[in-house]
Amino acid sequence: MYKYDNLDQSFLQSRSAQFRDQVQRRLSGALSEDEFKPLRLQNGLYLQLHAYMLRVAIPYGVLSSDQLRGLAGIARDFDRGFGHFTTRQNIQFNWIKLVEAPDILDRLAALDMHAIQTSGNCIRNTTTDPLAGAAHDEIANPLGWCEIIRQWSTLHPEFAFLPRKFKIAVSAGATDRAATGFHDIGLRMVKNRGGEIGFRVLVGGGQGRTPRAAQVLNAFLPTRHLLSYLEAILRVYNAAGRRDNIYKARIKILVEAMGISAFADAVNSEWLGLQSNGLDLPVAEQDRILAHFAPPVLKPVRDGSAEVLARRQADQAFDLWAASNIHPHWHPGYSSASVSLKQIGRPPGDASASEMIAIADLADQFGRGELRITYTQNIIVPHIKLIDLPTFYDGLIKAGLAGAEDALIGDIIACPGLDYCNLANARSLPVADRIFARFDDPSRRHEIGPLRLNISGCINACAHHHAADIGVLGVNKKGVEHFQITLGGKAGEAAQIGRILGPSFAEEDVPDAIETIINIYLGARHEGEIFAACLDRLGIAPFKEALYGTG
Amino acid sequence: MAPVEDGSLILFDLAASDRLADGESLLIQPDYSLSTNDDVPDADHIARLSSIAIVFPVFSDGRGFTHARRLRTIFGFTGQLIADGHIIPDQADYLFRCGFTHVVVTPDRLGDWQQARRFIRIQFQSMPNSRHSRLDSLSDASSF
Repeated sequence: MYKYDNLDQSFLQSRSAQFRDQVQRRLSGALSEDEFKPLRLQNGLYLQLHAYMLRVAIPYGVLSSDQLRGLAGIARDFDRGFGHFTTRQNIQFNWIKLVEAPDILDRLAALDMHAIQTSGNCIRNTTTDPLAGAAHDEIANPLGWCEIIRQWSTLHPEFAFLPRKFKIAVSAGATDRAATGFHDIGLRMVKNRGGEIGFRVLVGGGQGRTPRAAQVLNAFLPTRHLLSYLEAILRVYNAAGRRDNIYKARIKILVEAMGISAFADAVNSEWLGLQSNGLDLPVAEQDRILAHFAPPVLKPVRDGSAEVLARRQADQAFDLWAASNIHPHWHPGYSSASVSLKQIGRPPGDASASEMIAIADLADQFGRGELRITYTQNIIVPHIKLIDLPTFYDGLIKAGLAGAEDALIGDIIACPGLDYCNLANARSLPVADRIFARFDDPSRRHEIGPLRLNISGCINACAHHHAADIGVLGVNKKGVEHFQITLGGKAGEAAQIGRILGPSFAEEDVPDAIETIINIYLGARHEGEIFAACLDRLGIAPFKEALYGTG
Repeated sequence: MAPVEDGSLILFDLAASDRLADGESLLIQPDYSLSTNDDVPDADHIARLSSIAIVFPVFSDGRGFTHARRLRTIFGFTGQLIADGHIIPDQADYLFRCGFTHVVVTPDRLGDWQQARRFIRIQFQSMPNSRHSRLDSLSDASSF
């Protein structure tokens, strides 16, 4: 992972000092709330329903075990002992006092961490495949390019006051695990016919109240031009994006209004003017950053598949866990393992300070002291020897983190909802809990198979309900919280927006509705057919009929 | 542009981080003034101008930064570039690095503007007036 040097550290210290000054000016009244708001937002500080919330950047979801322990310390010392991992691979603390925020930023700076640009109308944390650099199917490691984008976008003087927030995702696996098709800019690493690696550039994807799948802007961009090309896109957007209505201000609306070909012309013409401006990194600097992400030197090991199989045959709980939580690795004898943060009574993505410490310790003991936060609000420990997986799992049991699986129906993405968020219409967390309770049996979750179920508390779609096999959206129906259900969303490069099934349900009726949908699927599926494939084959009609009748 | 004879507005010189002495004539009458909502003038016109003011209706309207960068990097404008309207001291570095030379400020905020220029001395982008700190090993990042 990227190691800070003196220059990076001195930058963070000065940024932290600047924010301390801004907070002092706010507290003394020298800064009005209107003037302070964009400054605190660009340092990750939101004013929520009950307190300030601080969103800390975890660049592209990668952090060290020491950093995770440091976050645990912040949860313990400044929050109520918990942190909440988000779909942008970041972490949020929900109970922050304004006067303490500068101290937290100092604490973060000491960990080589920050909260810069985790909110506000600027370029946000770049996200990527949580298995990047550890996956079996990628053509290059995207992490170095994510870091290059992070540095370029950090306090970029031209793009700090965009029409709206701006999200970039990069992925390089044969399977897109970073939802690039639902980003303002999605970058897919590809090879051209000459074998050169570059980016397929997608633009204009997004969720919110106007969900759009991204379109291809450039089929092959050589990696050396990444920054000048991004600069051209951002410049066209900054100049022409709508600023009269925040719901029409994302780049997806501009791309749609101009049409992709006119938008591409505008970008290319801007790019032409920019190429001589020295924006692209010199090769030496590019290589310096990429070198931080060289593949780890992994010791040759005996293939531990036999040990894993033996434990699976002897231990049903381990078998069910292993079926979903182990990911293939490029190195023989190694794997990566998911630690699920989903269970009854736990807001999806929440981890306590002691759990964070336990996970960090496991990463030190069995991995390489490195962790990945996933966009599904879980944690992955990469680079674990197969032979160590049974002991790793025992460690999870000890920490109370072994009960759930990656990518099954219990792996719910949910936003904080009306329990915390001042935008929400409805409480997402109690619905998530009801669904956990309904599908409490791990054998049954396995029987149902891979299925993404996401719950957003409002149309802003922070929990990506549009991109879920089953999406649940909180709405306000005459002052009462209700939930609309969508089917058929897909989060990959070929993003697909889920379709609304019909009228919304009261909170207590949501589990029945979900179960009805599941039963239709179980009754109709072909052997080995996952929910998404079955739905593609059947269409939504049978599900609609089961829920609402034929009338 | 706003009245200046009474000294209610002054020009802050971003490079010097101080009030521009005798800035009145520039304050009263730049060669050209545009709002963030306007397009920048064409290249021939720009070539004849020695001062341009960009007026921000509200500080969060970031188009002014792109106007400035286009003027500097695409159109080769080398004259004085003045930020006017609703701008806040915390934007001082962004303004400077995008190519603004001056900001119209009220005298009571002069200290805030000077203070704001002091904080961040390291940058991760290459701009004509502020090289990427890491690439510019020969220059001293703390000397403006």
